[in-house]
Amino acid sequence: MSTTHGNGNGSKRTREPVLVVLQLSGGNDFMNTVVPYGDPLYYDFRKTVGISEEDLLPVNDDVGFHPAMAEIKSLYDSGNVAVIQGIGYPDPDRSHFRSMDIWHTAEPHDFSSEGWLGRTIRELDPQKQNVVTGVSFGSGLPRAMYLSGTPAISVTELESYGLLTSLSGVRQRAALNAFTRMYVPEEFEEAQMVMQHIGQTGLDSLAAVDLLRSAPDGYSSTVEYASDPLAQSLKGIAQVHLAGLGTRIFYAQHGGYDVHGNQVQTQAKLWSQVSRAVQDFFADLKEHDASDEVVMLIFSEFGRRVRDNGNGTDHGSGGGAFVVGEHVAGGLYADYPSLKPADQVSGDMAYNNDFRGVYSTLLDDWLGIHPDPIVNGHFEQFEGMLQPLQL
Amino acid sequence: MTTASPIRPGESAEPFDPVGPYPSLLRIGHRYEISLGQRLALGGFKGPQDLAVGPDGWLYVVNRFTEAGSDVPRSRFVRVRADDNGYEDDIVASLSGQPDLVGKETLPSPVMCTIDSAGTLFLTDEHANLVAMFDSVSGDAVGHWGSAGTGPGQLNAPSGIVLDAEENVWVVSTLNHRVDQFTRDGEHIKGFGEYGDGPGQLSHPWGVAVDPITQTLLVADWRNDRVQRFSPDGELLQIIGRPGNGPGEMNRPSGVAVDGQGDIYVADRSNNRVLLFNPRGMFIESFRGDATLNERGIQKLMANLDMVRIRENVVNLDDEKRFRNPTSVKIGSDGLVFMVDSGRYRIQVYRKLCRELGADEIDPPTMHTDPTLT
Amino acid sequence: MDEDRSLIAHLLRRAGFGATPSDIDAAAAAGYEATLDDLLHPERFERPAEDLLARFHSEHSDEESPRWAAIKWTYRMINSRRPLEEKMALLWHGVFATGWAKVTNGQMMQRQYEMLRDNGLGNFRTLLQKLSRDPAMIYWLDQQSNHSEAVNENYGRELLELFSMGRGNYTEDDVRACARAFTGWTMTQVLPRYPTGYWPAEFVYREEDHDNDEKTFLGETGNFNGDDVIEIIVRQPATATFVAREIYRAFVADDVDEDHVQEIADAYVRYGYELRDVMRFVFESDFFKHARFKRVKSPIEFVVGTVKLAGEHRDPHQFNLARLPALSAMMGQELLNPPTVEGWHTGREWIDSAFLVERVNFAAEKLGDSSAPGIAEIASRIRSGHTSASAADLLDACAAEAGGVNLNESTRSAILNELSVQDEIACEGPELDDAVAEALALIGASREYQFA
Repeated sequence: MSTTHGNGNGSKRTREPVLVVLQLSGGNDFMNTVVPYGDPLYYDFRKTVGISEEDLLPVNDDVGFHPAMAEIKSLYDSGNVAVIQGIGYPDPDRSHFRSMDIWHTAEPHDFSSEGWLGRTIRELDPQKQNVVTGVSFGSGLPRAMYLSGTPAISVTELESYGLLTSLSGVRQRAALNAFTRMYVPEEFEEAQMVMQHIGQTGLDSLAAVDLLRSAPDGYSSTVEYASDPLAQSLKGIAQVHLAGLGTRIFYAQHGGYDVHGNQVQTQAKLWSQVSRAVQDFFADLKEHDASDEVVMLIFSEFGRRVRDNGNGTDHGSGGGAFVVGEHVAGGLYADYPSLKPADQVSGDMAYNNDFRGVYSTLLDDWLGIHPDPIVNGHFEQFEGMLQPLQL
Repeated sequence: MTTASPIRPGESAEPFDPVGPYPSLLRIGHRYEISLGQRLALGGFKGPQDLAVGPDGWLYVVNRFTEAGSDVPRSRFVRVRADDNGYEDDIVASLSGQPDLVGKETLPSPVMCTIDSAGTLFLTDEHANLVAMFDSVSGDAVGHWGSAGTGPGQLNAPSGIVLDAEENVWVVSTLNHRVDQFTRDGEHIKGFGEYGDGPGQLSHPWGVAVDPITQTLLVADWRNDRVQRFSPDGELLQIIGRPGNGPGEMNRPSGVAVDGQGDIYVADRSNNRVLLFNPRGMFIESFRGDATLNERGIQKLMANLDMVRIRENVVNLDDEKRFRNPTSVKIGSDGLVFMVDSGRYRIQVYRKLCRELGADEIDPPTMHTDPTLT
Repeated sequence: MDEDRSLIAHLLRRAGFGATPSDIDAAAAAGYEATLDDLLHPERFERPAEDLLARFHSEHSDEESPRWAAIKWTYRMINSRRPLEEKMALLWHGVFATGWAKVTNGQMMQRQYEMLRDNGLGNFRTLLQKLSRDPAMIYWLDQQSNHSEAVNENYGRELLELFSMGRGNYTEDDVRACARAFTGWTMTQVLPRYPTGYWPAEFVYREEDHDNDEKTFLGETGNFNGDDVIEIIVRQPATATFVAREIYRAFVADDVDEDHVQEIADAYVRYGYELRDVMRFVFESDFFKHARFKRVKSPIEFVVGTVKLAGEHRDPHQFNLARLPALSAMMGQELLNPPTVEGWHTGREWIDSAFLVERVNFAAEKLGDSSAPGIAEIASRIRSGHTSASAADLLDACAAEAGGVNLNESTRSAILNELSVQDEIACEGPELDDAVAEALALIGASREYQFA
């Protein structure tokens, strides 16, 4: 462990920059998230799902936030939200899974099984001193966090997280005792490398379980998170961070953005959840004097078609991302892609900045690690978007 | 049996007596009208299994599906009706997380539905083993009944459901290989059925229909590849169809409907077609699907213009018209026939064209076998 | 566990997905040779009917969905009486790794799986010929963009590097020649997903788009087409070794013994690339029979083997079947969606902290459920003939019933130390079922259970 334990009030926490990545799964419709209402083409293309000017939360004369994003708008007004417009990658792929893979592996052309955050975790903790350097909340470990041989923990929800959870009470405790002894690496007489590996992995997992299970113990907050899974994930992240376990990379997921139909209602519900959860998360951290230690990246695998389909929008490319935190120089970054038909790429907004540029900015300016080997190349960064944490 | 008739596939030795209340028809054919629904066009119209024709003119469609990226089953009622722009639709009720269904957090696996004259929807769920009722206007759950088990009147993977003239409820128990009659409140009245492939036996029955003229029951004897007609007391009256994919043959028929003239429509699910039989069980016609792009489909393509270019490279777009695993057929007014094209997330709507003939308008039936007339 | 049963259990784990104790009894009674012969001849048995499966899982049974193909495959792994053909399909799926993340079309993925299953025990030459005509593969590796005037080398390269010979056995010129031989091998246009859904593609050969010029490939010169190239590939010694090593790692051990690989490679040549004969050679070899618990179970093997032992999902009506392939994915192996064309990284790389937690929790949940039919069956087998048992006897009996899990002494004492039952337990009462489930849950949580 490279850091001291805390009891939730932040006093014993080692100040280190922490990155939270929030994945919006399904392809968030950026055009209806940060809406280019100043361009009349928007209303030509968005006849049925377009959002009228009076409903929007205007940022300037050109764009405004979706009406469900009041809390994020407020964070934006405080200068804590960077909006990266026109983010994407070359030769866009409209398959959810492939496009998500590309974002996860930072590799648009070849298939790769190494996640960019997996590599980041290895860089942050090369000696594997902390089994909880990377913690993901959600169902299954996202490929972004995966790197063979680098520990990363996957938690569905903190309350039910654990080993041998199907066993009850006393029996679970007994089973965990047995597990501890069964997995002691040196107990095997034959020097079997794989047995050693499984033993070490088992004990690491058990250690992670113990650490994470104890995270909520000293936690108390006046912030009341909503009950939806995203809010609960962010609450879990706050608890783990405030417990001072030394976790540097967190991951959370929010699904349902594949709005082929019923877009208006669906997107409003989803963004009101995100907006409130993000605000509550940072308010919670602030209450514990930890809000400047965390930066959050919010991304989705792609944007959607410029023209709506009469009830929703279909898979497109060229979306947008958000970087949120006190160390963020808020504002609009990159240009909003042109909606002119001639500027579109196969009916989509053309991307104007590679997502690996944002990754590089976060790695370099926030986490302080060399980005190029992690994102597979050198990409232009957003200068001045992030101020390093003063330790 | 008063007429000499040609032997038809699957006809039983003692055919159901067709004489009596059934009208003689001058058949003109069926006209394809429209397709309702659209893959991925609406959040709710996904994996349609069955529909009920509401007294208000809406079609109430049971959808059963999983959300993308999830293995958790979801289900919902969506209502749909044709309008000037093709059709309109909205979600009536999400069947997952219905708090009024005591002890049942969710209806993960709805199969079939029907609706009464007051607009109450009745729905079977094959894993929850119950019949659930919904108010079709508000979408609220208004009750449920049924107990799981293998005895008479108990439910074991309930599927087909239909109301008879008294608005009692007939429910198929697929894994009990039975059909049971209940009051609308779920009190068991009677039932019949035993497992097997002999005449009158059933194997994994699915859909059920009531003939409005004779009040007899037609059961889609799914795993025996046939439809059987029973009296309400369970007496076998008629066997229609046999295994195969030839004319009038069936491969896992799932749904059955009887129209006001006694004609029998069968969703021949695994043959990807719908079959039409006359009341005597004679095979008349098969439907393979004629779907055209509706306005939603056109909008969909307009938003995805590269798809239009791809479609130009497709050798034969006829495939797009065809049924894939049609699960159910329901009868509407004015000759409308609704065929639930489950695998294509749409309902193909046909209109039956025919004229009923009076007794003085038709020659003596013996003439029908005169070969010189053909 | 006696040696005969132990050996049969080993065969059923490797040539299949594990077995219940009564399966092992039956196979042991038939004998190793007869059991092996049946495994090598799947055509002797019916495949499980799938109409009921689609009937009771209609929320998943959309042919469009590749997940449905994975669900059906999982069901077959659990229930097929022809397990070796499923195991061969799994082997070739890992080698010719094609993923629906790119292909997206469920019917195309289903057809590729069926092709691998139907030819997995056939001739390797035929397998490569079918593979080269498989629409999912064509799309996965951009074969439809391989034109006589604009050669796309993707398939030609992977055919040599990942599907047959392996790097270092050919030149860049050979890659080029191979790709040229496959020009014009393409597929019909798939109907787009909008507005009504995909239709599967068919292989087509376009003579007018084929490069008919002379090619030199692996030292041979001729006017080669794709099948000519495959003919040359299959007789290369490097191909023999490649096939042998893949079979060895899938059926014998994670740690490769090159001498034994060479024996398999020789069999590949000797039997004219007939995989059924090669597999018979492997299963009859001493090195196979001695290689017990030398492979880390892949996630799907782990899930299916555990479910089989628990006796679940024999009934197609049982709910939540879709959870099984989803769990395998959470353990690092998503069927029909390997991460890259290189397939999955196997052996010790299956074990990572997030994946191990899923494995341990799943095995403990399934094997610790005394109401599961397979667990009840094990309890009743232990009950028959015994009036009481010591904790140690009970644990040993459970390990034996679970296919002869070879518990290390330290593991055994760790479990014994924590069992609720410390003394003699009466066998007639329900407390035996409970104790059996508890012991099996801990066996499932052990390191040893991770191995096949």
